[in-house]
Amino acid sequence: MRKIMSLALAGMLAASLAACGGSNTAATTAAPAETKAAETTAAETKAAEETKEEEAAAAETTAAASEAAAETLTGPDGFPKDTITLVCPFSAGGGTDIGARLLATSLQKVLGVNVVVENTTGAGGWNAWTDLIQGDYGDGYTIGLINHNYAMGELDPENPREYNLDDVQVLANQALDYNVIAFRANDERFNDIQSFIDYAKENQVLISAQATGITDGDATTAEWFNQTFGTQIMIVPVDGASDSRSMFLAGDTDVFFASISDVQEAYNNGEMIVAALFADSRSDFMPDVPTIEEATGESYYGFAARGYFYPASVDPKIAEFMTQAILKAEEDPEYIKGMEEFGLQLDNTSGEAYKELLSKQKDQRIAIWKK
Amino acid sequence: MMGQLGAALAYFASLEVLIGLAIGVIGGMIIGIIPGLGPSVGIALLIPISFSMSPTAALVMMTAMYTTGVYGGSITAVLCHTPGTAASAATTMDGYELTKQGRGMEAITVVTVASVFGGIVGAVCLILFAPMLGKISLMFSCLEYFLVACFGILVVSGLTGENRAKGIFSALLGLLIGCVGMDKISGVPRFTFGQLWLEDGLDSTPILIGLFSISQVLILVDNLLSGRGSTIVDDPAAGLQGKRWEKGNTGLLAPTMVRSSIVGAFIGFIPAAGCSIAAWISYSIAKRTSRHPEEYGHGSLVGIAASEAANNAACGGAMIPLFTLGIPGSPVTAILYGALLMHGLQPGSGLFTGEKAVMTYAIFLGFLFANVLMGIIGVTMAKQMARICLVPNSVLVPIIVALACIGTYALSNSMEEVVIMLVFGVLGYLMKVLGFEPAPLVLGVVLADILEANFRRALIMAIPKGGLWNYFLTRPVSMIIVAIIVIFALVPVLKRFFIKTEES
Amino acid sequence: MATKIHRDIPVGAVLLIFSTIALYFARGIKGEAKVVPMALTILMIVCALVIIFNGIRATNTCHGEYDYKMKLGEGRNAFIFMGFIIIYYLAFRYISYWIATPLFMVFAQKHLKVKSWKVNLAITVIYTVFCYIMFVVVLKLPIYKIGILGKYFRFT
Repeated sequence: MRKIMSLALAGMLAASLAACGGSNTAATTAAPAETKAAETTAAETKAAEETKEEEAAAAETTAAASEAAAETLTGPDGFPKDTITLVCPFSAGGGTDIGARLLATSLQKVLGVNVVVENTTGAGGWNAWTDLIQGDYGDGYTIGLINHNYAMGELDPENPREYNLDDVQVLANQALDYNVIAFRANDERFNDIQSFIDYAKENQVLISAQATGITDGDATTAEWFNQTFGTQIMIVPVDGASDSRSMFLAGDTDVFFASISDVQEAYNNGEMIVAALFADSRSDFMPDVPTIEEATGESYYGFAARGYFYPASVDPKIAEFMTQAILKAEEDPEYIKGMEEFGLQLDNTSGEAYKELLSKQKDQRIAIWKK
Repeated sequence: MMGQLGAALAYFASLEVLIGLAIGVIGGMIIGIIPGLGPSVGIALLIPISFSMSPTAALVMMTAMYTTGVYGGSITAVLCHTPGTAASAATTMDGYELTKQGRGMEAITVVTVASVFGGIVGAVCLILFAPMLGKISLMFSCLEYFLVACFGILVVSGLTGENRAKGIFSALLGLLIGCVGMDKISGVPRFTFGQLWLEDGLDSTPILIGLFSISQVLILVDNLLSGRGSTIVDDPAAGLQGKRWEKGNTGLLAPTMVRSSIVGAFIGFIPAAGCSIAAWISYSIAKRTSRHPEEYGHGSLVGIAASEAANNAACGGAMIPLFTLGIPGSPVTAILYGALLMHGLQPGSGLFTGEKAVMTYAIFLGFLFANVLMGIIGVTMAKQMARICLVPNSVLVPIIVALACIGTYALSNSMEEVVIMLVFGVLGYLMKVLGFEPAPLVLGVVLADILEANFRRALIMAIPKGGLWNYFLTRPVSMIIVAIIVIFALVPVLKRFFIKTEES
Repeated sequence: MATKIHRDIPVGAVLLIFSTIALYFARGIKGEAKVVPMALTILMIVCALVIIFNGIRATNTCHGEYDYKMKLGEGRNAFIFMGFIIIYYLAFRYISYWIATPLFMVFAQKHLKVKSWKVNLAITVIYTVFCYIMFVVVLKLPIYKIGILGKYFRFT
């Protein structure tokens, strides 16, 4: 009896093994980008693309892509020789993660080695950031992903973070998403920024944000509104951007403080009115939307940014090389197309300028909340 | 729409889509079977693979994995007391009892049939009513989520077991564990003791694996080494008993499956509720309305059918707000949301008109086919799967432990999750020995988050409306939920009343 | 006499101590975030008291003869196996999953009285290879980060 049982088990395991092996081969054939060399990737995607599109631009795209694949960059002492890991502090399938994966694909072409994305989630990104700063990652084979929240971490009144921009070497930015204020198209109470301010002076209005204090961009914008115009904006704290969106669509919140990418689709099909942009100049994505300064005379800017960094222990020469590599990867037409499909605006500020960009927003927030 | 459905069918002539479907179904079952790995981890792991696939193939693969992952978790819940995710926990008690009696094959078949039925109902809702139901889901907000969670608390009260005080204590402990981490509203850390990994709170999955699987493993070891049985089945010599499907089963289970599927699809489509709450609520409705509530927890086929039909129907339901409005209500749908965007399918009304509608319906059809395929595989494999319970525990136990460890690690690539799982394994064993029920604890952890944060959000949202009571009066859906809760609470009283009048 | 009290009395006492400590920490939480944890811990204290009270009642009515479904003292084997699992966990964390698992499987099966070495080794090898293919080759989990020998098991 015992023998039969054991045999049965062994058989079962073998069967599941075979099933797994089946999915394994299928998986690897389906994902050449993951394992194979850069040339094949470019060729295969080219083939896939041509079946989908007939635009003339496609030919240009693929030509440039194969050109990029032909010459790979090599840094000091033949760096990199091995797989590069991109650590994404947010979960797989999120916007940040997908941006990182797009970059990994084009970086792979630039460097000629495998670039893989790993997700270390938790504590709003601080799990990954703390590990990267404290751990043994001085060889440059691990790149971290940084966003505007990192710069604000040390300001958190409830739970101040240990590290700030001085503890990392900022490489290059990837995406810059300016904040906007949007109304529902069918809202009768207000349809432009002035009528909104008039309404909000008399009535309490609700917005949603992911936190109520200085660490959150939308909460800071609300605070700025309240201070500058005497409005009565109140914040409902929610878990994520999608919650904000659904509450706004359902009419649970009155106005939507969001980023351009959040409202792009609804703006295009007329579901939302974008009243103002919190930037220095107008956006190409929605050229008829005024900046807040044009609309009210008061200047304010707010944005979400995400880019890449090395721990301070990495050789500055390697950091300089990697910055160049990332900037080159960001020129890849396929990468640009992928990012645009996803509604992300590209930005390639790098090095000190990028650090300054992040610090500038930090200083503005400190100034607002000090009042 | 029929034209679009027809055009959508054409997608299934493509080899890539069919391969995606097959990987989704088989991969989902394997992922679901491994404790700790559920559909959310599985789909997240598919993201890099799907990067280079066509949108339809990728999404068919992922949605297929969603439903089969939930189903796969129930197979091991029935056979080895190892639910893959909280969605299968409600099936564990009854299913495992049946397995012990040697009726594992029958239990697996009922799980399969109920899952497929629920899955198909969910898929049909998705195909036929998605745009319409999507609008309804906007009527749910924080106050409604809170009330649904209150319903969940009422469900817990039916699970406290023989010793009420102990049952309530585990539920309270679960709710308290759910409080660990950053407070969602004010951002204040609670019970984190300065540990970064505690900031997001404790995930319910490692707790569930610990309380259900590891504690059961310890009991099996104990029985084995003290000579009280070396297999899961009480009487291994008798082998597997019963047929796949007893004659009376169809009549017995059909009403429950229909009701549970509708309940499941509906709860699934409330953002924030999700599969596990759907399964528990449906199980508990079945128990409350049953004429033989005493059978529940001791191997009730109806109980299994109730929770299984609901959790798979909830998968389809949860995709309604996702596709129509871009509202992901659960971790799984959040990943699917990312996948949709990645493939240039911005959720919203745009997905249901023009060229994209064909693609959308192809994904929905893929989801439907996945349920059918899963049923075919499940029923044909039922006997082979049921044989697991004849495998000597001396072999099974090390495998379950090793799989549980790597599975919980894979949950978020962190060893802390494994520690949590093992701690709750020991705790679960002690609870079992001392007569505490583990189910209320798990449900407490699942509900705590929804309950507290949404109530406090509702309080804030009520301020411009002049207080919570006035706000409540402007929300018809809230009033309906409260009415349902009251009716549900009164069911035992009503039942007693009806039985009395029948007798007299 | 001490052996004769119902076990719910000491169990309830432990829960009471636990709940009180939890209440102490809950009090330390800032602002309105402490309301729910405090309410929960107070209710837990009430439940613990009820458990103790039930235990006292049972002690008085049953006179030391209790019908426990399972007893803690009989679980010696379970606790020994728990020790096994903890050693396994430590080996997983500090050495590598791919070293710890085969060793654990072999010893655990031996401990649980699998008589044939052939079966024991076959299952160990099949399981380990299956998991390696599944988690490392197909799913690419970053499990190589765990343990000092983990990096030798990276698949690229």
